[in-house]
Amino acid sequence: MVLKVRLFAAFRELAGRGEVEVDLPDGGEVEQLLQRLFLLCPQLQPYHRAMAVAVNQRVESWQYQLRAGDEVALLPPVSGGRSAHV
Amino acid sequence: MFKVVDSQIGLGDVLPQVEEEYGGAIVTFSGTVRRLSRGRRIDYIEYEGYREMAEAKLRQIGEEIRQKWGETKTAIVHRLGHLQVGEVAVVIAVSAPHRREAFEACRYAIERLKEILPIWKKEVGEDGSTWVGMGP
Repeated sequence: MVLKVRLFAAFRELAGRGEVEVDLPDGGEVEQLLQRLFLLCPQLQPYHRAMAVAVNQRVESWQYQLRAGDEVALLPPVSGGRSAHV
Repeated sequence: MFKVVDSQIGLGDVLPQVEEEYGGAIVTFSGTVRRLSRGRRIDYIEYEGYREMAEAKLRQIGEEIRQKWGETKTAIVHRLGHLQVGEVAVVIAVSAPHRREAFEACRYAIERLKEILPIWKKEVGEDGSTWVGMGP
């Protein structure tokens, strides 16, 4: 499956685009998606531990299993401090 | 009422939304762009957000307030885009039967929003620009 990953703010500027398409097996985990994304946008890799990943507008863990049609977004840390967007 | 918008905002957008018969107190908060940020002189701020998720998070904050303080009404509007110094970025109004809950809940709303809202700001000043939250 091909998933569209939305990038915002600092991540959008680092990658030079607001959306990246990543090919992933159905049921692939968030962490796997990130590893593939970093091959396409290596500029984002240093922020791996600082980012949160939203799937269908909810923050999910690195182990969350993705399905076709999921809306994925990489969220940079917010100004208020913590990086976990619970 | 919980919204993310692109145009100018003010307390008039949220105040009428929370006025009601059983409220004995309304507390409002208005967050504006300041000239100095961590020692830097700011010219303007760019706010960028994940709009759909941000509105969902604002609704979540309203729900959390009801769980913590009971019968309250909350309205929050956040603006995105290019904001000059002095312009209003966020407005909040909370009504509750008594002032104590209204003050506490309004404070909670802005602190919580800073933690969980997927909205980011880029401060642009004479010495360049920085995305706040991304480190030095």
